[in-house]
Amino acid sequence: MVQNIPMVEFKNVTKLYPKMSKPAVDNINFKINKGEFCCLIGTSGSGKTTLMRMINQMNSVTKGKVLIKGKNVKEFNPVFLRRHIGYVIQSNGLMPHMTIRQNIALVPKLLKWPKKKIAVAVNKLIELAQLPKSYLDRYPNELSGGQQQRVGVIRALAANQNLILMDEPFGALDPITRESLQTLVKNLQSKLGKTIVFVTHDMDEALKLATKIVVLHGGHLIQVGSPDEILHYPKNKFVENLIGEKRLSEAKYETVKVKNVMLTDPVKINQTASLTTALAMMKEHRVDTLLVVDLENHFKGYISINELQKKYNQANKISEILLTKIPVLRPDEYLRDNFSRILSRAGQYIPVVDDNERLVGIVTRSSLVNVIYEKIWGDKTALIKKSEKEVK
Amino acid sequence: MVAFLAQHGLELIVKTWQQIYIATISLSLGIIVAIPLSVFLLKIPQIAKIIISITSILQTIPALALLAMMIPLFGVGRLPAIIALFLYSLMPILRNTYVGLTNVDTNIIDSARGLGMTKIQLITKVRLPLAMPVIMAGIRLAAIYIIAWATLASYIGAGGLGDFIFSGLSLYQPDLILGGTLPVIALALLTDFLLSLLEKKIIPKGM
Repeated sequence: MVQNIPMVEFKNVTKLYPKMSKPAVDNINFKINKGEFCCLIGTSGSGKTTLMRMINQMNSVTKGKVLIKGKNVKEFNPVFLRRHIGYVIQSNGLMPHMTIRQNIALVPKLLKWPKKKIAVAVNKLIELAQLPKSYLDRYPNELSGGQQQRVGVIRALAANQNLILMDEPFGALDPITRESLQTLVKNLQSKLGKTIVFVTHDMDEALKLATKIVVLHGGHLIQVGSPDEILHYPKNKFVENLIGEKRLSEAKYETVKVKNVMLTDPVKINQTASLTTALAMMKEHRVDTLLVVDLENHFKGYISINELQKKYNQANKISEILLTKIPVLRPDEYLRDNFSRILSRAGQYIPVVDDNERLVGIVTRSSLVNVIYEKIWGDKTALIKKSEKEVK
Repeated sequence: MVAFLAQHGLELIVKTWQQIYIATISLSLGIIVAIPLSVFLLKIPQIAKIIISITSILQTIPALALLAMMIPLFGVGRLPAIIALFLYSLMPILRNTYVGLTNVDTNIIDSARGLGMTKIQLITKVRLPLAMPVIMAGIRLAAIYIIAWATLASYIGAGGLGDFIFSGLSLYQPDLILGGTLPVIALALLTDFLLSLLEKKIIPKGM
């Protein structure tokens, strides 16, 4: 659903609060495309909320420009602008003196929609929130925190707003309720194609929801990228800390590539060699198969001891007993995508072939075992240190 | 009691009506002035504090003295009494309304602003309804004060149930004193009850 049309654009945006020596937000530049789920993440005081609130003019821009669909927000009437941008805050965002129905209908009413249109919209929205229709006539204090926030979320969609701002909307909820609301928001976003700007300090939340993550610290923009980019290439120590060691090491194993674990000197034989040589080589290396290459190391297939013994007297050349039905791996493939292929080869290995069809190595089941060992026992060095301590 | 009613029955009705009349007008004036003034004060919080202190000072002037002070300005009769009592009603209503309006949860204000309410809508649709319990408490307090103090208005010739009490005092007739006092108490209790009914009606549900 992400399109390459910028919905929100920050251009050299700076925010100075009076009586503060340091800017709350310092020279920020980035774009949020239409249909994107953009998480602004940072510790408190990073300027993430300030930045988000500049979009609907809840905070003014000191220097630079904030553009919505290419138009400077300052050119809009703030009230008009806010009625066309959804807004969800952490808690107590519902009007306690209005029923759920009145709360959902708040913005459509401000926009003076006809009554029938509002009634239709309200009934549709309460379904989207997965709440029973009977709740419409209740007051917010008769609902649980999670249910209230469901209403808060759909209220932000009530007037068909395409851009929705959310300021730590699930921060005050228990983990289970938070999870279900995250799923709700993610589904609504992808189903309805909304652009969401979401402020959070929770990296789990950002990684789960975002298509783009913007890391802020002390008013500066540290890194912008997809969750995968942030996770696998954190720009500096701060981003790493934000991600946390556990997730970083998990991510590390997620990105182990075939070339990282393959054995680089497989037993191989030139296709022009004689069968006698092949047999001798098998004996020498105590293997029952040999990989066959040509003079330029291009991978051709393999021969096995069974075939060799059967046809030893009839055949002269390796090419006559060459077996070519064998899966191959590329060095840049992720190991995680090939686990089952490697395991299904039973006791056998899989040759690794580069883009020029040259044989560069093999992967065996024991290569996988090593990776799993490392994941379970942690870094080898840590393990060694631990055992050293025990010895002492 | 029967003798008292037989002798002063008609008079009692007239005096009670005068009492109600003075109290109602001064309280209404108090509400009409204090609530809009509080809304206006929201814009100027520094000055708001000063104004609220001034009304508090007015409250400390003894009722009798304030009524006496009205005579050189407005003469005798109902007008000075109403003005004096109006000044008394200002403080509880003004202070409660201002506190009520400023104490509305900032998250709710922020959310309402973020959804696109104008400044006027923020006051009429959010701040005032949410401050209503506190405002009503101020009005009830003021109403009871005013009904009790309207008795003193008789001192400057405004009439009311105070006439009975003052005559009773100067003539040493306890039945006249009681005849003035008991209706005042009844009136105050009745007003408080009626206002509590009103409160239930106008305080939004869900709070």
